[in-house]
Amino acid sequence: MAFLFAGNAQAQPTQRNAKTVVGDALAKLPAKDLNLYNDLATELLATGDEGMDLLYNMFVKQDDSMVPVEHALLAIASKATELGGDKLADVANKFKSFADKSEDETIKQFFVRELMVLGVNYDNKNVTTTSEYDPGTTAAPTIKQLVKAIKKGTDNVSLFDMLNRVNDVAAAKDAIVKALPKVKSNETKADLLWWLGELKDNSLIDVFKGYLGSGDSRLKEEAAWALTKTGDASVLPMLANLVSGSDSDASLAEKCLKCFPGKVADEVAPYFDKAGAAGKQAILNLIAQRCSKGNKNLVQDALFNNNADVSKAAFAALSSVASPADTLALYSLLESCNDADCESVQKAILSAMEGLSNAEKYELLKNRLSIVTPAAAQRYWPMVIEVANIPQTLDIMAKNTADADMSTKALHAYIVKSINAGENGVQRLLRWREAMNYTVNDAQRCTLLDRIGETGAFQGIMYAAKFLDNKATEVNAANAIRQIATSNPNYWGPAIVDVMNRIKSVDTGRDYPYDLQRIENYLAAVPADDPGYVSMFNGKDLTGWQGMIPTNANGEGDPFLRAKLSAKKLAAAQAKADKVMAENWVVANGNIEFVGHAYDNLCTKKKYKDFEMYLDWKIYPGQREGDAGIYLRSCPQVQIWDTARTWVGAQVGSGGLYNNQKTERIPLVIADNAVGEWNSFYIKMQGERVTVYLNGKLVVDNIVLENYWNRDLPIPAEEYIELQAHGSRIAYRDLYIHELPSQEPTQLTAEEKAQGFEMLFDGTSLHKWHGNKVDYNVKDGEIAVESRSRGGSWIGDLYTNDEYADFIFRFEFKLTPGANNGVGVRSPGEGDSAYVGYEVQILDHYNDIYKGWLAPYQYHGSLYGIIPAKNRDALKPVGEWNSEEIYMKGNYIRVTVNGQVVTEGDIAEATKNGTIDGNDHPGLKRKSGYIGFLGHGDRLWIRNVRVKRL
Amino acid sequence: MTSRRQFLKGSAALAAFTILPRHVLGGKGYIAPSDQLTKGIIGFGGIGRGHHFHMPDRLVAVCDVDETRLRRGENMAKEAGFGQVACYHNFMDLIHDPNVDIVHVCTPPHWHAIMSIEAAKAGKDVWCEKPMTRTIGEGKRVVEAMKRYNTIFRLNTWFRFEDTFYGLGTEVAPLKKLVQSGLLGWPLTVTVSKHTGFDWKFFWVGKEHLDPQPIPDYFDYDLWLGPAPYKPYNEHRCHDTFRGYWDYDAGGLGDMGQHYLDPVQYLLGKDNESPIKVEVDAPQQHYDAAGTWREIVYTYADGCKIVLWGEDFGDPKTPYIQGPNGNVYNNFICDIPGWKDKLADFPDPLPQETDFLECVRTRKKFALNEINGHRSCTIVNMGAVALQLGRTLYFDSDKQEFINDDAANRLVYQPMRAPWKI
Repeated sequence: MAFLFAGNAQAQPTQRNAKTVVGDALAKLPAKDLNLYNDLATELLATGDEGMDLLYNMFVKQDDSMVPVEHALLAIASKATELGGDKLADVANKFKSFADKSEDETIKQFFVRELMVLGVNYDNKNVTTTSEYDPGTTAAPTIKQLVKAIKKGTDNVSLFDMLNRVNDVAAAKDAIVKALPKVKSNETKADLLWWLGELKDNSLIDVFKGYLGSGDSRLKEEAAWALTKTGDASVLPMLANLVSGSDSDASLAEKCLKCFPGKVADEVAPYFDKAGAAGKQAILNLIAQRCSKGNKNLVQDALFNNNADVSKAAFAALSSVASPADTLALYSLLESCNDADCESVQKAILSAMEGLSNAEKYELLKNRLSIVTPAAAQRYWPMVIEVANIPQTLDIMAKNTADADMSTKALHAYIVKSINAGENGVQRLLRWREAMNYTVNDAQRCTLLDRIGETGAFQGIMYAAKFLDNKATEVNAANAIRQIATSNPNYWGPAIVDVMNRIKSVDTGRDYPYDLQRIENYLAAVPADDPGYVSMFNGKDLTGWQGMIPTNANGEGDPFLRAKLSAKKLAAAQAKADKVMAENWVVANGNIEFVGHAYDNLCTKKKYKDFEMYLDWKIYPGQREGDAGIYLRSCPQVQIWDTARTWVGAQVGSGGLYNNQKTERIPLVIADNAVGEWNSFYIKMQGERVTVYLNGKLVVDNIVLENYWNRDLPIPAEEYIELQAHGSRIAYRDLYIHELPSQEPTQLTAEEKAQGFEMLFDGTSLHKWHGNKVDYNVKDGEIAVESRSRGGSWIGDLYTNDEYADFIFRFEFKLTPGANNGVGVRSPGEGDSAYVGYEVQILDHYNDIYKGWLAPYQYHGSLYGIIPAKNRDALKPVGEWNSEEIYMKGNYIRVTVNGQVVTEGDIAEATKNGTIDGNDHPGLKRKSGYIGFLGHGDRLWIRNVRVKRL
Repeated sequence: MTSRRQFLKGSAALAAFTILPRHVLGGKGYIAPSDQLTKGIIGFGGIGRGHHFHMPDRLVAVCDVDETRLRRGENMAKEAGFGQVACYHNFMDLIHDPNVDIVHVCTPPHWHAIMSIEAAKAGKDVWCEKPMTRTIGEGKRVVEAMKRYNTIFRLNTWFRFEDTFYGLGTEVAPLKKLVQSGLLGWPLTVTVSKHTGFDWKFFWVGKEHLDPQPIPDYFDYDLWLGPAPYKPYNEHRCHDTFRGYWDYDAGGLGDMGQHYLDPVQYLLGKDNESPIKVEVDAPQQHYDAAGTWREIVYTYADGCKIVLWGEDFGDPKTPYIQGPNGNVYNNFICDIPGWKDKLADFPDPLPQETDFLECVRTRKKFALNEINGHRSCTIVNMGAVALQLGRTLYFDSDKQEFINDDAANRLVYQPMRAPWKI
């Protein structure tokens, strides 16, 4: 068979056999895009009977492959219908034979349906019979019959039924126009006018006009609408004239004119004095609809019309004609008008200010507010609430505590504006907590608790718990707590578990059984071996905290110097520090607050390794130097400062690792709230890396926190958390910490220690390395090399800080399929080490993508381009860890992988007749240099890196 | 055949001249039962039981081929205060019940044309659920039949005259006013997608290869299928999931298409024409089970376009209406400077006939009738055909057929299973 197909392929080199085409197509169907579908369909159709038979035989098996098979058959049918002709006939015949021989009903149905698409009427009584359409004959009435019916006075239903069926509309129109005057029934006349009106025919204006003065209101109505539908300019005066007629005429005119083009308001305005009350209202309504500012005086004069309805219409029209110049007059009007007209005037004032920004409107209204009587002020507040920004709206709520209605109005506006601003849950929680301070009743508190539940923010749980003690807010508080906790199973801790247990007994109403189940599910999922988030502050005193011991003249607390103090000195220093703490740090307003003027940090009593924590902070306003921060492992710091302090660079925002020099110190975004408002931190520290969210926004993304006290060393593995004092008043609240399992540093074996090996990477820090520390990322005790492309495949290299001449370099690594990297040795630390230094190849050379073309000096372990690896089987399969040793002394190199020597040789010997890759290797002259990992953009992992100088 | 119509017309006229609108009098029963219009509902699935007891007409008959649903209809009618209603298994019996004035078609779409036409033949007026018909050919027959038998027909979607529609956040009237003012320019492109507030409900996809199941004894599957091709029974074909199958509907496009597109047709003033081209971007469709799609684009002869995007496809910042001189976004946000003042110079759209019962009495055409309803359903069905064939199609708006495309036209005129025909 293979031979036959081969011969066939030779005769028609571009055509593959049916089996291949079908196989390929089945792998790709159903096609995800039309081009592919078209290509596959064309290929499939070309396979003819052979391909279709193949597909049919697969189809009848009805196994898992049925779906692509079906799509392949559909593609053939679809392509055939597109091409038509013989192809269509062939496919139709074939499908018909399939339909005939299919025994299974599903299969048969498939072909019957496709035959329909292919245009074959497949007659099989057992399955489907098709029938012809019966278009019937439409018996349209003749014009003669129509005229006869009109004259006879046929009832309207029958008449309409005839009109709906009439074929020659133009002739019918002429006949009706002619017959119209003789029609006795006004109702029939009106129906006929409606029918004529639907034609929107200008030539009929004279016909309609005659009925505008009719005493029959329905006739008049149909005539007016028929005229309106023409939209002809000559009609406008006729309709306008109606406004000065009877009340019903005026209201008819208003309806019609609202739908009429042109200068409608100007046309009706002159009738104002002549018009009755309904007419006057119609005119005012039309002026309002067209925003006819030219008729402003008319509106003004009508404001105090004796007729209450006219006056009301004039007030309603105000907002449509008001312009900026009217603002003052409108203020006076607002202060003097009736309660009922208040809303119209408020609308008019805001409309007069149209074009100004909300901030400008707010200023104008505030200015006015400052000079009016308290009673009049009540009429301004709704407008102020409408234009105020979020903090201003809150301010209005705070100022109206005596007026529960106004306060609630402001609260609702505050909520709507905050939500519309699209702020995240953490930020909204801060907003709702702020508003809670100004609530005047439990209904408002419940409203806010409902919103707190929607934030999903950690700090919302324990905050809402404070409202469990009040019966009136208990249910809403319980709902909020449950909503946050059950949708965030990673929020847990002793206090949260207590609260969740507590709310089990709160009857939340209709869904109580479900709510209870949700709580139980949450509690059942709380990990037993991890306490979760633990409070660092009891809300009453500074239990758990101590003073920071200053170790130098600047009053800084260097943990390395502190560690050198004798126990006795340390105890004395601590006692002194605690005394200072007691003077400068207080618990006030339920917060931890710094009230001193010095620089003595508040320090935990416990030391922490890896952790994640939540805390809120606030800088008090009115200070020259709003500044603070959170020290992690006794090292500065996650920065907190007043962004107005541009002279120190604070405009970049808080949350950054301010004291970093080599790694990033600027926050990703400015996420600070205004001074005086609360801010919320989430800080995570894992190993030497720190992640910070400020007010729900990521500001530090997994950045190394440098050791401020000694920049050559990594940050201590375990130390205190400190709240910084920087001479300005600052408040902290709601501190919760969750300790995380931390990575223990890998130790040298006793043997290597004795031999004088040095640890270059112990699983915790890259402080002995330089270069690309972004894509070479410390994670779970390993260097995870990220797969990333940077304008090509080069991602930059990671080098040792020191240079090495003769050495033994040992490391472990794990590859992904096809991964490529390399160990640079005696490298200058820049450029392509394979040439300007040496490179010992790292490559998953087992992968199929390298099959057949890899040069001998490219296999794993080769000294790239110089000495090929002789052993190609030492590397373990992808996903397993390998150990490797590179031994380099003078010209001698030996590479050992998993205990097997793969490469060994003398470099001078190997290059005496030039390099085997034929390339220039200027690095051959180097006797010493950095050791590094050379990035090729592939993902792999490295661990336990050691070196020994020879 | 018209005697009851004439009688009712007379009483309505009387009511009109007393100038007391019915809603002022309020409450059920102010019209003597003999003066009240009566209706029968065919199909007691989600639509039938959902929201159709609210009209001030009187329910007198219900029909379903599923005995359990028929009983449900009977009970719901009782609960709604209509007393004992006539219960029918076969819709032809309901249509020929002399007590029924209006036939309300609440079945899956493959029945809509037959039932509407049979009701018209019997002298009844028709309230038909969307989509109006399952094929363009059936729609043409309905238009002919309604004219031939003088039927007042209402296609039941309503956004062209009331309600804010879906996520758009505005009623259609102000949009229509803006469009007809010409401020946006011409031609316009209207985008109907999640980004402009419309969900294409892709959960209405069918399953490929349903295993045959025994037919429940309370269910007349043969009559449920009616004109549709016979296929072995599986419960997923029927009742609440039928929309996923081309034989009965067209997935999410069939379900929501006419709701979303009829107001667009009204806005663009295309009640008497159809697009001339439809393009689709979709995965290949199964012959039986309707699937999902990314994009469907319709083009009218004057260059106006309607763009449908599935799921998250397309640019989220796209306006609902794009014109050469301005755009309109959700919640009626227009980007023409000073548009409010400019628009005030223009007239409101003409009022529409929106009281169906009044139309039944006066014989005026309802605002959304068989003619414009058929046109907006044609948009849906053009899309369904293009999806099934997986290619761009060209359409003759007057003949209402695809141009030189037999395969597509066979999906315009699909045969019916005997003995059904129209």
